[in-house]
This record gives sequence, C-alpha cells and structure tokens, in this order.
Amino acid sequence: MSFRQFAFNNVKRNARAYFAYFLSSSFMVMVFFTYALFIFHPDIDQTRIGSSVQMVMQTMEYIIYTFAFLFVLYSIGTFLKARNKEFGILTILGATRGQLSKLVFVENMLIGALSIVTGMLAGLLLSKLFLALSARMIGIEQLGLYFPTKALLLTVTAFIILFLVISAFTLILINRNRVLELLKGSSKPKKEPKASLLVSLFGILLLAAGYYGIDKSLTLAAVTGIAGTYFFFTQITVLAFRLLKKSRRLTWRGTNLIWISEMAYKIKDNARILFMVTVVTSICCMAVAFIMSVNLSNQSKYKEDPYSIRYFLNEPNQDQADLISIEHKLSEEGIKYRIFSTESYLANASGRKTNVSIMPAESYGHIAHELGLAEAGTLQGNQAVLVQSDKEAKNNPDWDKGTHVTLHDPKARLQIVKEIRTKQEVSPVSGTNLLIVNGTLYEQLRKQIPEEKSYWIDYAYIFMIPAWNGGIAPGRNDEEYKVGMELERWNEDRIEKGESILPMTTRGGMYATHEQSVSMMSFIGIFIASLLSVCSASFLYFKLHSELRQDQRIYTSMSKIGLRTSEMGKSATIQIAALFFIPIFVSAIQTLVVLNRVREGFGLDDVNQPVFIASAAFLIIQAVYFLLVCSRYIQKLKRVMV
Amino acid sequence: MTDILKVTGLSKVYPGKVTTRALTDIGLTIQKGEFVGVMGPSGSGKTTLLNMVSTIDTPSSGTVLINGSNPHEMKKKELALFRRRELGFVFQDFNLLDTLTVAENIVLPLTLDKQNLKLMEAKLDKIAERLGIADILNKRVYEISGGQRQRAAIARAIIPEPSLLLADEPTGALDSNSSRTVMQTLENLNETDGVTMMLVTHDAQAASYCHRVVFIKDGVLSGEIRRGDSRQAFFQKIIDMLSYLGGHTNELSSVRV
Repeated sequence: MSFRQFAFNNVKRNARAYFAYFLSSSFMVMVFFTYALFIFHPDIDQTRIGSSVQMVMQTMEYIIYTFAFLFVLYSIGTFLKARNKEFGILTILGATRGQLSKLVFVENMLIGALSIVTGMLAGLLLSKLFLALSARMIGIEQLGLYFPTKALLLTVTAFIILFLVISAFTLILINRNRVLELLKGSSKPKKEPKASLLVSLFGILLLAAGYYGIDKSLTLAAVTGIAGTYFFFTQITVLAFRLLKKSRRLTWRGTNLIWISEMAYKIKDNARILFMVTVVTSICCMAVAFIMSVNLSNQSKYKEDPYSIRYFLNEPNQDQADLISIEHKLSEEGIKYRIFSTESYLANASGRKTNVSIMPAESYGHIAHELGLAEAGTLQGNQAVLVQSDKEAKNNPDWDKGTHVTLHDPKARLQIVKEIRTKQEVSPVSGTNLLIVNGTLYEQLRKQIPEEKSYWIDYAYIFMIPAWNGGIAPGRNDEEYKVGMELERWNEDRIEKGESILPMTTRGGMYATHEQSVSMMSFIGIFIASLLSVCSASFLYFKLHSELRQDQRIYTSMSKIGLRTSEMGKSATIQIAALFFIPIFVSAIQTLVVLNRVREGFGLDDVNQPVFIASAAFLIIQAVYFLLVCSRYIQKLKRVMV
Repeated sequence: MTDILKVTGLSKVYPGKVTTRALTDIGLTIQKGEFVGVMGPSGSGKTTLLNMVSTIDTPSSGTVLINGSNPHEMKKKELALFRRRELGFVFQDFNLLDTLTVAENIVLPLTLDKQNLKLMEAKLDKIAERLGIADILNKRVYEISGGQRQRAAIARAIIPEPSLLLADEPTGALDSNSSRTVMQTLENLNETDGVTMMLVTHDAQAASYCHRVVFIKDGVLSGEIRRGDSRQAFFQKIIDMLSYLGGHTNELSSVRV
C-alpha cells in the first residue's frame, strides 16, 4: 500500500466522518458558484441596475468568499480535532511529521477537488431552477442559460487557492500538537481568547474604521467591519463569562452551573461561531433591507409625483409633433386626460445646493387649480411665495417667511412673503423648490437669460389623468404601468434615433422601470440570503453535531447522579438558543447602523422600517431552525439519560 | 437497626435471541452504618446488581427497597430526584465534569436542588477538609491526580448526605497507593459519619476494608464472609473464597477489564 493509497483508503473507508466536512465544503462552493453565475450573467449587465448596485453585488461575492474560507477552516478544524487520537496512534507507530502532514494534505486536496466538482454541478442545477423561477417571478425577459466560463474559472481558481491555503494552515495546526496531547484527545479545553484592553480598543478602532471608511471603499469597510465583529465577540464573551463566574450566587444555582461552565469551556469555539453566524446574518439582513428600502423609495417617489406625464420644451411653440404623438397614444387607449402647461426657469440661489425653479404666478395658478393648493395671492415687486414639500424643505431649512433670497444669473433679490407646504412635489422640474414671483418680474428675469442657456427655461406640458391618481403604486397589470412603459420605450427610441432631445417623463413608466430592476435584485437577494441563512443554520448544526458525543457523555454521567431530563433540556436549550439568537440581534443592530450610514449615498428615504421587517423575518426563520435543531438535539441527548 | 437496602428475590433476564439470565433470586440486606462488599468473577452479575440498586436498570422480578421505598415504582422524574437525594455514586472512571472546577463538581448535586449558597459553601469546606482536597478546590479536573479525582468524586457523592453510598470499582483505575488512600477515606467516612456503603469490586485488597463481603457467581449468591478483628486475616479469607469459587489468579488483578 503506497502512501497515496493509504490516504485515499482513509477517505474512502471512513466516508461517514469525512462526509460532513465534504458536504459543508461543497455547499460553500455551490453558493459561491451560483452567485458568480448571476454577477457575470450577460442579461443582468444590461438591466439598468447602476454601478453602485453592481459594486454592492461584487462586495457580496468577496464576503461570501471570506465566509467560505472561515467555514471550511472551521469545519476542518473540528474534523481534525476529532481525529487527534488517530494521528497520535500513527505517530506512535512511527509515522514522521512529514508523512502525517502529507497525509492530511493529500486528504484535504482530495476532498477539496471533490467538493469543487460536486458544488459546481449542484450550482449548475440550482441555477437552472433559479433561471426558470426568475423568469416567472420577475415577469421580464427570461434570464437565459449561458455557458458560465467566467464564473467557472473564478470558482475553480478561488477554491483551489482556498483549499491550498487551508491545507497549509492545518499542517501548522497539527505539527504544533505533541503526541501526548494528540492521544489525550480533547479533555483539555482550548485556550480561551485573550481579553485585553488593547485588543478591545483595536476591535473598536476596526469597527470605527469600517463605519467611516464606507464612503471610500465598500470592500475595505466590509473587511474592517467583519474583523471588528470578530474582536467584538471574542472580547465580549470572555468578559461576560468572567463576570458571570465571579458571582457564585448566580452560578451555583440550579442548572446555571452546568450551562455557564459548559459555555465558558467552549468559549473560543462559541465566540467564533457567534461571529461567523453574525456576519452571514448581517449580510443577508443588509441585502434584504437594502432592496426593500430601494423599493420603498421607488414607491414614495411615485406617490410624491402628482403628475402622470410631463413633457418639456425649451421654447413655447416649439415642435409640437411629440406632444401630438402622446395625445394620440392616450386617446388610442381611450384614456381621459386634462393638459395644462407651466413656465419656469432654473436658478441658483445662494446658500443652497440644489436649484430652485422660478415660476410666474399665472403658471402656479394652473397648478394650484389642478391640485387644489392654496393660491399664491397677489405679489408685488420682489415678493415671492415659497412652495415646497416637507422633504424639499430639508434642503433649505433656514428659508422662511421674511427671508431674503439672492439669485445669481440673472441677479435678483427676492423676499419670501408666504410659504405653501405641499404633500407632493409639485414643481414640474423634479428636485427643485418653487419660488413664485409676479409675471412682470418673471419676464424681466427670463429675458436676461442668455441665448445659449435657453435650456434653463422649461415649458412643461403636464398631463393629468384622473384614472391614474389612485395614490398607490400601480401593479404590473394596471394601465398606468403598461402605458407608462410603452411611452418610456417610445421616448427612448425617439432619443436614440435623434428625432428629438426633448425630455418626457412618465410617472408610471419611471416607477415600472425601477420596479423591474428592483424585483430582479430582490429575487436574487432573497435567493442568496436564504441560501446563506440555510448555510449558517447548517453550520450551527454541524458544530452541535461535532459536540454531540462529548455532551452525551457529560449528560449520562450527570444523569446517573440525578440530573432530571427537564434540567438537561433547560441547560441544553439555553446554550443552543444563545448560539442561534444572539447573532440575529447583533446583526439587526449592525444592519441598522450601516444602512443609516449609506442611506443618503444611495438616495434612499427610509431604512429603519425595512431593517426592522428584514430582521424580524430572519428572527422568525432562525426561530424555526432553532426549534428543529434544538428538539432533535435534545432528543438525542434524552436517549442517553438513565 | 434499620434496613437501608433490602433486596428480595431479585432476578434479571436480558431477553434477545439468546436469553441471558444475569441474576437469579438475589436477596441482600444492608443495615444502617454497614459497609458491604460485593465480589465475584467477571460476568458474575455484580454490575447488574449494582445497576438495579442504583436504579439505572430495572429488575425482571423481585424488589429493591431503599430506605423503605421502592425506586422502581417511581416515575422517571421522581427517580432522578431520588438518586440525587438518597443515593451517592462513586464510579471507576470518576465521572467528574471537565467543564467544572473541583469545587463546582462537588456542589453540583446541591446547586441542582437550589440550596442556599452559604450552606453549600459551608458543607463544601467541611467535606473538602475531611477528604484532604481543600487545597485543590479551584483546580480543574484535568489538573489533578487520579486519587484526588476519586476523592473529589466521593465528596460529590456524600455532600447531599445520601442514605446509601454506592461504589463501583472505585479503585479500578488507581495505583495501589491511591487505592489505599481512597479506601481509607471510605472506611473513615463509614466509621466516623456512619455512612452506609455498598462496594462492588474485583480487588481483594479493597474488599478487605468492608465489614462483610458477599460473593456472586453466575448470577447467584454463593457465600458471605465477615470480617473479624484483623484486616490481614480477612484479606486472606477473601482470597481463599475467591479461589474456592473457581476464580483464577488473574482475576485478582486490581483492574477490571
């Protein structure tokens, strides 16, 4: 029997022991590969998801890789620990360290190669199912099957590197142990992580770096954030158990003694597990909450828009052909509409980041009439009325009745005499506040705008379609959604062909375009999130499973001296519950902090509600896993109670 | 004198393809303050008997009365409490928890009963002093020697003040020196505190500390000898009895296989 045969037979004949390790490795390959398939999918590139979203998706891939690394490292760690005795016997029989290392290395690479193949095959099957599902769920063109050369290469390279590094790592792990320790197995606890002020400070520093560095680089923030979370858990668990053990009044009471000491005994493992599950849950939670926030923003954008269709000209009586086309299209569909026009120009006011629209009182009269808003009243000289929604008001918090506003190009000084607050954003040019002035002043200022800057001036034709003003975002089968999409497409064609450069926006069409890319993202996001969540649950199960034999031994001997089954159940449940639920709460907080931090960068309105919903959803899912795993585990422990 | 343990007509049959009769019609009474040894060759049924008495296994027929109550008629929940309060266990392999310190191991039965902290600490100190393990109370189990472990296990067994202490080959995993300390500890507890004990052993040396020794062979009680004044003479009588029962010299080894 050659050495390679020995290694091979070792794996083949002890398949059961290797199976858990193999399964978890191939599971990670599958997740990574399926995800890579989507990032590199040709159709996903085409949809207008924007560079920021793509950046987020790529960061996710790095994180999955990091997690895969930790996951595989952890599984191999527990796996090798279980085989310590075997290595001890081999050493006593005269195997050299080199031979032992070679054995572990060959075994690892064998399992690694197998799991890469299996994982990718499973990923291919999964993606086929996924593509078919996505077509049905999203309702846009089906994401075609393609031959994923890029994803294939990436996965193979990434995981070969991963297994090589991990194999090298385990060599260090084994060589450090002495034979005696190997033979003794695992009665000695692992050294507890060091808790020190310096390490804690370093951890806090990392978390802070992640928090503030998020604008610079998402990847950097992810790396420092994850590292910070690791220190958070190692430090805080050690600290917590030190405090707990100090009080005999607390520890020496009922089953407390059992679970506190058991958790303290496994403190290093527990801290690592908590860390890893937290990272995975945070990623899932962030992804889902982010997508929900984008969706929410899209809906609120729809709700804040009072106008069904807007069409802009730079000069009155410009080419009206497009306008006629729109009207034609609407009549064709049998849609009743009213149309009115407004006039305004964009101005730059001192002390403000965004532009303001200057509008003559007459145009505002139309708007006020259509939307039932308060009248501007008579204005004289440089008097102006400020019209803004609550959200817009945040752009100029110090503008109020009596404020003097200085405009540049053309220069003017206006005095606000009245403010009208609106629920929706009534300015025809979106993203601007309205300043209403009297007609004479408006004409005077408009004439000063130079010829080449004529695009500052907007003649808006606004279509009001009463049937579409439901106040809630339209569904896929609603008229506004469909007609809006058609108009948007017509608009794109027209601009592409160079027939016109004049902008037209439809409320329904804008909403529909966003809604489609969001729903695709959310499908992918939820898919990945559920994969990872299953993954973290199986991770926990793996950990518990690897400790089962030891726990059974402990509980048998305690049962002999009179531990009741209910007391065993209580002690085991507390320990399992801590592993399952602490990560959920920590990641809810992390998600809340991170999303609030990036909220403005991504132009999102509200992130708190989505974070709560997403966290609650994960809590429920985790509770289901918990009940399953915990009841199975306790069932297994019950068998050994005498 | 009250009977702490009264075993009458106890039989155990393990059903299966080949039915095994492990114990047949055993009767045994242990009175308060007695120190009784049970000996016999391998496979004679000693451990089965101990398991019945310690309520871990149930008899096929016959009764076991401990302090007047029959534990085999109790529900599982009550049984656990019964074991916790009425019985003390000392095992061959100590059965101490790696996760706990020596002190925590000893007070474990009391904490499960949610006893008062002050009381627990007082009892712990007293017992640790008695057994000479006071200076290792804060050590972990893997840091102390075999003899110390067994004495810690004895401390754990007697801290709830049980009616009956059951020792299953307590010297089985110890060297002769530690064995002697452990047996002296048990003898001392029996003499000064009047702890009632039942000792199952292979080791004639250990058995010679008892008041009387009963012998089992092939599941049947086959003799009983009482100790006189001299432990040395008693030891010789035990050896003679064992050879009479047909044990081989190799069964006198102190380690149970």
